[in-house]
Amino acid sequence: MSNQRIRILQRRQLLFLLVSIAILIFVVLSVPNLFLSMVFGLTGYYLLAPAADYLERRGLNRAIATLIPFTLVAFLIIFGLVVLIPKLTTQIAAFQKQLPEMSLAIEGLFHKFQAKLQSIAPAAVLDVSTDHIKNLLSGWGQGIFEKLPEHLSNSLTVLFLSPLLVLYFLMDGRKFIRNLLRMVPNSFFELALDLQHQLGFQFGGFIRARLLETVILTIALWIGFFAIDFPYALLLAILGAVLNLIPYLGPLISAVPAFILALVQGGDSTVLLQLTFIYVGSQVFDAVVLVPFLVGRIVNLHPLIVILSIMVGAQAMGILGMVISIPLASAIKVISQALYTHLTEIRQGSG
Amino acid sequence: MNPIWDNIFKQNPREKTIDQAIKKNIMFDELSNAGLKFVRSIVHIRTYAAGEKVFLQGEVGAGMYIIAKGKVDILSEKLDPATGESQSQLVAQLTENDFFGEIALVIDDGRRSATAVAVEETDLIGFFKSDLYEIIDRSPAIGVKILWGVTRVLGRRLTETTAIIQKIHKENAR
Repeated sequence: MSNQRIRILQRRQLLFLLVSIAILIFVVLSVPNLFLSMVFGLTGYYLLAPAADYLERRGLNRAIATLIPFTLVAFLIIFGLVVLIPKLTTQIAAFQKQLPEMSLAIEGLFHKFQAKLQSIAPAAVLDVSTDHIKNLLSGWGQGIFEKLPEHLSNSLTVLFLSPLLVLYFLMDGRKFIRNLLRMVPNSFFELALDLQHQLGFQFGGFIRARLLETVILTIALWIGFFAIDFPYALLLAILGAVLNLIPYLGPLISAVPAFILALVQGGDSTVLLQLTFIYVGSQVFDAVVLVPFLVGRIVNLHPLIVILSIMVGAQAMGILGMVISIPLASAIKVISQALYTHLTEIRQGSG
Repeated sequence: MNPIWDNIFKQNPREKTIDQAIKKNIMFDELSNAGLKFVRSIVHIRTYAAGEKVFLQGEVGAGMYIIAKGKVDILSEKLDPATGESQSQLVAQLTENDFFGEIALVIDDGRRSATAVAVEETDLIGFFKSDLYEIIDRSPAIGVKILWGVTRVLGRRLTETTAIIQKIHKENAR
């Protein structure tokens, strides 16, 4: 076969592969809840795969090696929810009861702030009234209740689809990847195989590292809030650790409710200082101990690239986009580096 | 022979050739039938057209290939300083059950020392570093046997290279 015919054949194969991947991405993004379910599914897969692999190494077949950790984790999650949900519900109910008090306190704070502002700049006026704050809060409440059926149906879909995807990825994920690799043209095959291996290693490491980081941070924050006897300790600790998944912005956003709560409760400067110590301390602990030892080894991105990818992620998909932007940026870096090396090698080889 | 049983257990001729090529290879000859079946589920079967390059000299290698069907030319490429063009010299022609590229299994970012080109339509069994890691991870007992096979191949290559160097030394000494 002539070189030109081989090249045409390889280009057709490559085009077919790229179109297939594009269709797959389109379906995942356009079917409602599928993308979020895929994110949860892949997270579950990367968390459970080491356990399933271990059991397979001990001689069990793949189906049983998959079902054992899956069932165990499912039981643990259900048990955890049974224990945690009553606590969280109590804290959320208490928080709801405090809302009217809070609106008054926030108004008071704004008035104080306005008075100070006017002493500095007499022309500046802040229009803050009790009605304004009440309207704002009731607007939020109404919005949540109006959209509740939609949120509930979305959550239920994700709740049912994600475990199914975890099971599928654990049992047949390798077969799916092998079938996809079969479509890769010969000239790109070794590259594709190497990339698949590298990306799997990187995604798996990243997800496991971030989950461990979140759990450790939740415990650290909980201990901190518990030590100063601050209300809603569990709620704030979970919020702080989960929002920490969004680099730079997350920790700042997570600290706002705690400080508002402290101010509303007429918190003196000691409480504010203690809160500052807890949040700054947890961030220092995260930056100095957790990130270098857990995450830093896996994702090696320049801080500017991190910020840019978070901004792009936020624009494209909101909070979910911000959370997944770092592993995606890291994957793009690995793919582009490998493609660049491969293409320059081809040029060197042919030259 | 019972034609009914023959028909039930009839294997696709291509599949049979692939299974036999794996079984005959020195890397896998210590494996049991179950081990061979496991390896068969991991390796990659690739078909190359006549004249299609399997890999190029200087590329980073990911693993080795066993020829299940067809022929492969191994070419050494040299740059002609006068014309600046690459010239290929045939080093060996490999046929069914031969294998090549095994050094890439044990060297990180090792470059291919020659170019491999399919002479006719060729079925290759690709066995790569990531596959070896997967086998070691999922079934260490099979992984150890394969590593033992790799070691034997490398030992044999080392003996051959030493013999060639000694021959060159002797010729230079005369």
